[in-house]
Amino acid sequence: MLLSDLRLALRQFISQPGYSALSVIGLATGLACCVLIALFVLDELSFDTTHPEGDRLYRVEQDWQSGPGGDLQRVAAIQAPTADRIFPEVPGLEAVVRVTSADSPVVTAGDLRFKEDRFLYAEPAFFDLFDVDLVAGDAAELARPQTLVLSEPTAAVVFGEADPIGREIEIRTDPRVPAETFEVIGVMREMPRALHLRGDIVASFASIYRAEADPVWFQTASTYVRLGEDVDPQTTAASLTEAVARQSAREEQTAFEAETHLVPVTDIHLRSTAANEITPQGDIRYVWLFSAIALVILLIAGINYMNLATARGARRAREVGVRKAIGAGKGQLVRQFLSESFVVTALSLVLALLLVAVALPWFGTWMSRPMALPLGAPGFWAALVGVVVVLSLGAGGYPALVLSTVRPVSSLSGTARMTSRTLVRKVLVVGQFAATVVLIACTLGILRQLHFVQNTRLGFDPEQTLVIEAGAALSSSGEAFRQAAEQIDGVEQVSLAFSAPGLTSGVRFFPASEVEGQDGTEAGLIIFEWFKADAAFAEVLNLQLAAGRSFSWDRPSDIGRSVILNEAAVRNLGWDDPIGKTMGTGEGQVEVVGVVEDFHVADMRTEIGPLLIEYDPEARDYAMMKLRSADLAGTLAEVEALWATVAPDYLFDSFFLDDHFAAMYRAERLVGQMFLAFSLLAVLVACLGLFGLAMLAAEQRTKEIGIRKVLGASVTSLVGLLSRESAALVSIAFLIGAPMAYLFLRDWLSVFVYRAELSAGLFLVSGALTLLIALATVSTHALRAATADPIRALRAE
Amino acid sequence: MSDPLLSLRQVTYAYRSRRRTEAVLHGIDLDIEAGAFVSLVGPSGSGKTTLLNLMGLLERPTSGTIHFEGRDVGAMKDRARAALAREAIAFVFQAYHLLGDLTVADNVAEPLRYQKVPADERAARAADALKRFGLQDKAHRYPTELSGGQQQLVGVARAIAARPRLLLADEPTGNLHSSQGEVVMESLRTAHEDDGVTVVHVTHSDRWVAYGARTVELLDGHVLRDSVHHAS
Repeated sequence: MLLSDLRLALRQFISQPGYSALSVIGLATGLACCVLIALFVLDELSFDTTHPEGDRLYRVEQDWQSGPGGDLQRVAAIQAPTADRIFPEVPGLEAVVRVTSADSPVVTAGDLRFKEDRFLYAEPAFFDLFDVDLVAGDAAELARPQTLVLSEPTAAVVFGEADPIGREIEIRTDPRVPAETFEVIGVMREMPRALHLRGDIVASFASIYRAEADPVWFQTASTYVRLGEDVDPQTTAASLTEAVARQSAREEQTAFEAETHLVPVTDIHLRSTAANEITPQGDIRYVWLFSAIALVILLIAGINYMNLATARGARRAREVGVRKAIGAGKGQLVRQFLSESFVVTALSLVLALLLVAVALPWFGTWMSRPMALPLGAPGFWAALVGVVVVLSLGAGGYPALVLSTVRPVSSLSGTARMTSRTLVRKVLVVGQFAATVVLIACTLGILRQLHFVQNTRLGFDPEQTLVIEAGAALSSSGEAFRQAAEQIDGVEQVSLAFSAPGLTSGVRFFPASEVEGQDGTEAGLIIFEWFKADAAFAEVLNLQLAAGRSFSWDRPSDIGRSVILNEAAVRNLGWDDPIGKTMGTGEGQVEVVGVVEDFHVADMRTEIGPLLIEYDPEARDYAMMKLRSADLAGTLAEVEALWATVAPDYLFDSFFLDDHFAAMYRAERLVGQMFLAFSLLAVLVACLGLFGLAMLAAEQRTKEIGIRKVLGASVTSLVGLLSRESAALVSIAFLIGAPMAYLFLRDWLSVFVYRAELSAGLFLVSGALTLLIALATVSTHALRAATADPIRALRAE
Repeated sequence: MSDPLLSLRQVTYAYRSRRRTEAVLHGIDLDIEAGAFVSLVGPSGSGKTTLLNLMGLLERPTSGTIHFEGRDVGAMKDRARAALAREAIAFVFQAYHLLGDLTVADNVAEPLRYQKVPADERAARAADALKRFGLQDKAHRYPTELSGGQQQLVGVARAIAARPRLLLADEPTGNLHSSQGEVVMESLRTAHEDDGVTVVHVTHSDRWVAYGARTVELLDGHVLRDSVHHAS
């Protein structure tokens, strides 16, 4: 019986190619989107799930106060001596490892020199606690300073096929200090990608930390513990908090008194709220968001199928009547229709997998990770079978039940009424288009914000501004480099500074009592974001002077004494006439010589705060160059060549400032792109469904259209008649979808201090777009039906 | 005397809509003996088709009782009624109602599939039924490739293949040219005579009335006349 049901279902599928194609393409598109998103979500959820005894592995985090009276902030890296001095007091800690990283140190081995972006310092226990395997050497040797372990690929790059054990390489972690020599004591397998911290080089933690050399507990490290079996993490965290408090009481200059937490390593990648992460982590909100998008698309696709199947009910009611009259039971009919649903779903899944296979390389690039279908995983196939069953039952169940309950007598006489089913269908179409409105409105909202952050004037000109990380490279040759660089044709101007917008800057503060115009008795500090730069800084960045003057090469007396403030600082200080005002006392006293208009030194999530630029031509950590637009590549090559002569021992490490700012919104851009791509697909799927419904509606109203035409109805009025219902449904969908989109966008935008305001126009455009797309879809059939020969229509009926 | 195949007592049927109730049949008393060939006649709206649907267990009466082979079908649950109908009753429709997606052979075999007859036997019985009406060479055609008369013969073959004890035909010649109609009526007579199937057919035509030995005439939902004569 099952086979003959399937045979019939296949025959039914083939006999209705248009309808079948609409159903399969719609479902396949929805399923393909879901599979792609599911692969992404599963990958995100797979982080740190493979560590041995991983369920007992925790990272120690603490809540630190950011300054006196400041907010509590969770930190991922705690004071390193805590592990030596405090942990022994706390029971239940089976193993401990401290890990920290270096910021892209330069590795030199013979003639080979490169920057290593994945560089960790760790204790030997790292290889016990984490899913990282040594393939050569002994981890215990990592206890010695100046030792390291290379990953297999890195060892192959550095030493080729030679045995790296015992060989030496030089590493310069800080451009301001000379390189240090490390001995290779082991080779590890390349770390799994799904770890919250990864290294291609793991150097000994002892190389940078010795407890006796850190009496004030300055050094911090990410600290991981494996608890003993059946040890309660909450109790252990409480014990740690108490132990830290005891240490703090014993020696004030050591431990910060702070509440201590144990965070499961499996939660770090997606749920960490801590600062000082070694590498940027994911965000569980995006996992939820993308999962919701997948679900919405699948829902739209499922509704499509359900709608098309029930809409065809009117056409198939007679068939059902006949089948019942010749002996079919309700169960047999339900099974037959479910078989049809199964055939459509299964074929859709096959097509979806093909689509996924084609899209995966592109999707992987987009998501910045290698992605593949887990064809060898039984769970994958089980999930697919589950999807087919659920979709077959979910999308096919309703039409099956509806059709199987049709009364044979009424269906045979052509009087079967499908009113309640029509209502359900309308509700489903409204749901489908409400979801479409949400997706379109959110896409527009996100793209608008991205456009806003990328096009809002930053207050300086980042275009064609090259930034070179100089470190100590220019400490003695800065002026020579600046002059030589300005001789290059494509270079307009060069400025050397301690930092640049978008990079970490310093903080300078003055006691309020030492700031002119402030209440002399007031306690507290006046804090500024602090840049030290030469006289070209304002010009290279094209900062706009609001008052006073800029620094000048001709005024050496300005050095260390003159400062320029931004408008936010002036507002903060309440000064009406800031020029000539002083802050600080004695040698540290500075005078305000100019005010620049506010400019962004961080992304749009951060409010522009008080900023102070101090004149210091000796600040040479970064070189900023304004380049001319012609032949950027050639200019860049010349600058690099100059760098090689001026600082031969330092890598030429540069970036363009506009790229750097654009990169700050990578996550948002990804969300925007995903919304855009999946919205388009959702719209496509929804339109396929509407197209099918319109086709069936036009078919069912052939006679009515014929009569109306004979009575003199115009094509326009008939198209209007056939499109009116869709317009009404989309309008209702808009009323439901727009508020939902508003709530989502309001929440999403709340992280931005500077944002594009949510206007009614955005939602109206979304609604209009949805309506336009829906009407364009429907009117194809409406127009065809309205222009058909009425006599033929009546005769056919 | 044995029980009639079908026995209706004080059967009424009314269509109910939200606004009104419209009685179609009023207190019908009717026995159909096994092996009979009955013509059901009457003007449009007299209740012929409704009565046929009640006999075929497609509908339940508003009041009254229906016994099939002595069993009170009104007391049966839906599933049991459907099983009885599947096993004992077959229909031939005026509009043929063949399933367009199935071949002629599959159409004929379809009721057997619902009876859970094994596939081999289904094919054999369908082939046999088609052969009886000279349709064996059309077995693999689709209904739309056949003339109206041929389609109706397939309808009869489909009904016969199920080996029913009661065959109900609702104006089986209504859509056909008279010569085709004759072929169809002959096929019903063949089924009646060769297989002993009880036949009740609805007709407007005196010509086809003559095929039955008994004529039941309905008017406004009442049995106006119930007469026995010699079939031609």
